[in-house]
Amino acid sequence: MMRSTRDPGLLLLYSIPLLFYGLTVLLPILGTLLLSFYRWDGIGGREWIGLANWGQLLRDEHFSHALKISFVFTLAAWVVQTPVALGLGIYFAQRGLFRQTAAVFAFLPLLFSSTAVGIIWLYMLDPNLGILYYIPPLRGLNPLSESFALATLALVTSWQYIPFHTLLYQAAYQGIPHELYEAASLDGAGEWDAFWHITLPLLRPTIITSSFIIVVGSLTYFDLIWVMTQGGPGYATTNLPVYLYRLAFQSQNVGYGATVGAFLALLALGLSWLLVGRSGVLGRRWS
Amino acid sequence: MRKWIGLILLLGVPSLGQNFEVWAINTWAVDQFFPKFIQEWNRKNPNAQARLIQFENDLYKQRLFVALGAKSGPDVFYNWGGGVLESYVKAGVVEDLTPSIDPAWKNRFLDLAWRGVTFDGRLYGVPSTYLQPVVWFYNKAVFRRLNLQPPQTWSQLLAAVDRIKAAGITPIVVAGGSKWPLLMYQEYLADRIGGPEVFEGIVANRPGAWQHPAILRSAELIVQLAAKNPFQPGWESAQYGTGTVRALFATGRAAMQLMGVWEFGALVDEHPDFVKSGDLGWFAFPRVEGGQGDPRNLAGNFTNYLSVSSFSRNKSASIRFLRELSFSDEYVRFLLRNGAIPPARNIGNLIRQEGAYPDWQGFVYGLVEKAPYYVLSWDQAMPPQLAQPYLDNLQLLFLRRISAQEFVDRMQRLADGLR
Repeated sequence: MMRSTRDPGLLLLYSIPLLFYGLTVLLPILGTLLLSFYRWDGIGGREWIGLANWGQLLRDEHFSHALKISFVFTLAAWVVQTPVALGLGIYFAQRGLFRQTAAVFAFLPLLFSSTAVGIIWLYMLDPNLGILYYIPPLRGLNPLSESFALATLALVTSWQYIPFHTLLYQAAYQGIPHELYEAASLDGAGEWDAFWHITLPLLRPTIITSSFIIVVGSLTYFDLIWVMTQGGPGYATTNLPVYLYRLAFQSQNVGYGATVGAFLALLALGLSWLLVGRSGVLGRRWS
Repeated sequence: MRKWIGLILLLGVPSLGQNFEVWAINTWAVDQFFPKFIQEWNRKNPNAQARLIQFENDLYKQRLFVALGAKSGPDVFYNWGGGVLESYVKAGVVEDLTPSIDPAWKNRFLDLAWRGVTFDGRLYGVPSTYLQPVVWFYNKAVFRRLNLQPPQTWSQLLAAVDRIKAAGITPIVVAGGSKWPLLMYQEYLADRIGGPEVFEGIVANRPGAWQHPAILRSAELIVQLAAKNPFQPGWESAQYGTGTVRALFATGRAAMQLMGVWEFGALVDEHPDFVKSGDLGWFAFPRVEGGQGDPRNLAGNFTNYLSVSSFSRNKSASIRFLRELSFSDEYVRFLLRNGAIPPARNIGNLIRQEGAYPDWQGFVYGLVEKAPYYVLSWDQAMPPQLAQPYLDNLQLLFLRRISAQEFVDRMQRLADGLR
């Protein structure tokens, strides 16, 4: 039974978070979009240049490279995090002292700040003083070299965020009625059948929610990448946020950096619409 | 009624005086001396309390940039002078200290020291730390074992690299991930090959400045060095701030490091046994055969500076604070006791008396006294719009992802775009 959308109490309830959201999210995004039409070095005066920054963006090879890196990183993050979180979520959802204790420890990486995680892993992965040095076959390998840096960052990021998605899957799995599995086994279904035909379909909304969070989070991921590689070596790990930061805060080219930022916001918006919008993958009525 | 008067007084009293913030990086000189100095200052100036806020080196640069842009934050801020400070001066966020600096204050320091903060004949900061040329550090034990002498020419350096590498030791450590340690190679090579005019053309952004043959040659020599793989594994992602590069050097797993003299203080701080052992050696950047530059020329930072922001809440106290620091004999002695050399005049004798490391300090002071020319670190002298892409391209050059010619072409294009 739904209350009418004109219920004043409901409107008030919605308006407060909307106002908060408007001030802290929408306003800065609009501000960034506005900045993209200016040339500004961050400390001097601003100069209106219309769409010049956007024109430059289309011709910028560093931008298209950063876009590519963003997508590759996002894909890698999704490919690593989703199966692992799904598996762990189901594992931890079932009874057992070991499982319950392990679940608590598995949650720890999420509690650290990205900066702390970055610094710890930076020391651990140091080719000369870190873990790899003490494993002779791996000595001399640099996980943060041009070839490996992006993959390493994706793995470290996954290490940090898998616990979160594990929780999502764990909770969702626990919501699946036992009777379904009992009925299936009575009908002769094996474990794999049960997983494929019961678990996965019923977890579909969770998979989409989790994927959405991974995708948008990875597209905009900055802290860990900056702490560990600063977008390097060269431009090997320069994704869009890192490129934005370098432009705005290192090269003192804030107007152009804002252009990258506005593009990123629009990209994230587009992807959200695709996934969870009205006609999106989740939006469609599911029966 | 009394309650209200009390409340007003309570709110009013702090605004009679005004506290101010001193922003600086984490570096041994600030870490160890400033807290005590500020404590003394606060005791004597209850109405103008100073508060020290420190940041990690690489992050500080952006943090400062954002704060100055927002005109909020520091009253006094640590900086490296040069083109970066100049961009802040042009934006109107740095206080012109010329009227406040009397001749006595000016004469306290070497003329060289004031160069980094002099723009259009006005002064925008005061020297705050110590002379910081860049020199080679080396491990004497490793050299002894291999019967090597400190190289005096570039070929000798390359030969040493080969010998050390053959012995299974990392010839040179460098924090290539931070990028700025890489420019120390080029700033010296360019000067050794072509003399001061090379970089002067770049700073003035004269047409074709980057196409000076010395730049191309310096880039070629860099490629020549990099081709030998002289650096530690993972050098391209090693960051200066983590101290891992220093640790490799101090523990004898690497033989040489090209770094500013502040590294000496850091070694004293983090690896005192290594310094005490007497195995820490040093030599000036070798000459390049066929080069036109004077081999006595130096590159590096003149010194660090402290400037006052134009939006400071308490300019008079900030300036007094700087004056007191500049005239603090205790600070001079502190620096000398830790192996550093303040950019002060006439302290040759003082170095011999008070210097805790007279060999080292005599070496550095001698270099500075005799240097006909001293070029400011390229990434501080260039405007930020050029400095950042320069560092990026330099790293690519060291990685041998771009050729020397392509490096020159890219930099010329970038410089032309800024003219």
